[in-house]
Amino acid sequence: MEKSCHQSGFMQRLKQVEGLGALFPLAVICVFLCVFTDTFASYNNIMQVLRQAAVYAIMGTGMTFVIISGAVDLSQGSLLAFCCVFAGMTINATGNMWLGMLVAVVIGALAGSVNGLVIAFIKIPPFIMTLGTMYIFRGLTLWVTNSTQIAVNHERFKFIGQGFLLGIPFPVYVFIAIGILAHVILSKTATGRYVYAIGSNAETARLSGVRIERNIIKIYAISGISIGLAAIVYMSRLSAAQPTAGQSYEMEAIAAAVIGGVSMSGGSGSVFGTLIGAVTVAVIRNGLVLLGVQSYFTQIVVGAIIVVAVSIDFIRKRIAASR
Amino acid sequence: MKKLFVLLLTLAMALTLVACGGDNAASGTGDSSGGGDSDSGDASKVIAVVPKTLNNPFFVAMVDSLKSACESKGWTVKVNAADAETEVDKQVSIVEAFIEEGVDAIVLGPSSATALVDTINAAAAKGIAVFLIDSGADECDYKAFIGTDNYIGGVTGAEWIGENVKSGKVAILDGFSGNDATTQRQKGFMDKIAEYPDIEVVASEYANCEISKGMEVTENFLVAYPDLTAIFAVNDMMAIGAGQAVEAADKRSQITVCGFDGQPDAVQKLIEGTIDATIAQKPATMGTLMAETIEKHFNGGTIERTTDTGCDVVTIENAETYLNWQ
Repeated sequence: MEKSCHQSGFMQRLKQVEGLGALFPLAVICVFLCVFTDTFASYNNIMQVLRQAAVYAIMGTGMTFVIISGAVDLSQGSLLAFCCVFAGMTINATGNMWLGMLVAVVIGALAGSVNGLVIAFIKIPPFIMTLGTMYIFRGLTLWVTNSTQIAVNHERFKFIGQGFLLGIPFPVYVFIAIGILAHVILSKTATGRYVYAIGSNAETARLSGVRIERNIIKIYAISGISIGLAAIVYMSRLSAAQPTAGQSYEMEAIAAAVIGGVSMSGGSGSVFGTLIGAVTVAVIRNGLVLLGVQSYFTQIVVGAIIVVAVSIDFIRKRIAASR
Repeated sequence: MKKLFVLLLTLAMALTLVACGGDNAASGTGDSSGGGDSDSGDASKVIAVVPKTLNNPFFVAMVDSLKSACESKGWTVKVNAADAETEVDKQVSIVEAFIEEGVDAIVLGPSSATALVDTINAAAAKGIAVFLIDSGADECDYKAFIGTDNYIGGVTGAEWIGENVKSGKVAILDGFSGNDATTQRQKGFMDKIAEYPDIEVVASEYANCEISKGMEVTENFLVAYPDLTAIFAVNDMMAIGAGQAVEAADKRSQITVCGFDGQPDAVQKLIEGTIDATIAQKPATMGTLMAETIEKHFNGGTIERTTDTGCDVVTIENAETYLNWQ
């Protein structure tokens, strides 16, 4: 008993590190790309990749909360377009980008809360509720814009998605800040603990006095807020709000979380893992273009990475559990 | 211990990247400067091709033709595209990666006329020549546009419908918002069809240039407008979907279906009787002409800013020719 404690002390800790296991596939891929392309490792390119990862990283952060609670939010992609469109219209109408950003976040929070309310009180499975709102938000977006894209003309707003601050693209600061905030909420606040509790075993949590309904609403509101923030970055990168934006992007968010070690069965995972997962996917996409590989391979490789990353994590956990 | 591990891992990654980056700085400046124009003629030019998507045979034909024309000039061609025409930010990311790589020229089919403007200007600022193929963009720093004048294409479609359908209700299957090519076709059609007072446009709906969506939207049209006499689709994928929906509803003799693109699959369907006509573009011509234009540009010659490769009406009479892309 004592012997095994000693010799596996370091290894025990290693196996319990949440989310940082995702650094391994990322490191391997980066090294591979360094060797096989001329331009991957240039400062400019890496900064670009981080910029490209931002939207998915932010969406993934919200998705992390939902997945840890044992559910999934399929409406994220549609909500992205929904928030973009309202924010875009606000900026065009008032010329005020701060108001536009506030609108994006508020709409995201409200829409997310709708998901949360129905899931908490009517108790439809989250998969089904968010599947429904996926269609509803998309339809509303197309209706409100008459399927027409909205060009957003605001020079200073472009800075958020396209600008640099101290040599680093601005969206990187945004997603790291959001990641840190989310991590603090998840690991240091009561709400965060309740999220894990609900994901581990909702009934036990209820019996332990956790106010399930209230926390479920919070979880989906957080997911919605993260979408509002992602919408801001998305829109300012393109200077346009497209009603067709974000189709299937909830899958990208799920992929980022899953590669980052968040377990689909709930109860475990960390935001930092998701951020690493999002960067991993962006690195893969970028690397495949630089390698001159046909674009069909991008999907194959992303899918393979998901399977490999999750397998490594599962095997790691099983070894840890069997000790 | 946990922290030590993380620290070591991060250090290892950082060191690897710095090592790779260091090698680059010494020998790779030529690559990343992107100023291929000033190289000696011996250096093989790299052309990046970014169509809207490769899920549509039209773009595949266009890219294949462009690729073989460029490769016969001794250039290297790299092709990449997003999975769907609506994935605009993915197209932006792909173009950004090519800009970073410092290619000599980019041939782009913008998924959005407005959203790609900043990216095109960024490429031009780095000395990379950007050429637009098939679909245009808002005014920005691109060298040339080669494609069908889609407005005239839409007008041609309206003329054909006007002459052959003569009277009744027509519904339009449009592409999606921001897609310059399909928007121009719809506009051309709407403007011209007004000259045929016996024809009424009852609906114009987006079907995202997809075959399944085209079928779906057509099924809705058939229910909403039981006396519909014609359908004009701004691309062949949607026209095929529409034709199949019309056949399934047993209204083939009542409704005339006209598509756009001149896709060999659609021409085959034309011969089989599922659709009645299509307005053929010339993607193969666009490809070869684009290669010539790029060569002229590299050699310092003057090039036309806008070139219309034209379109032809394809019906059962001349269908045989169009079984191959023009």
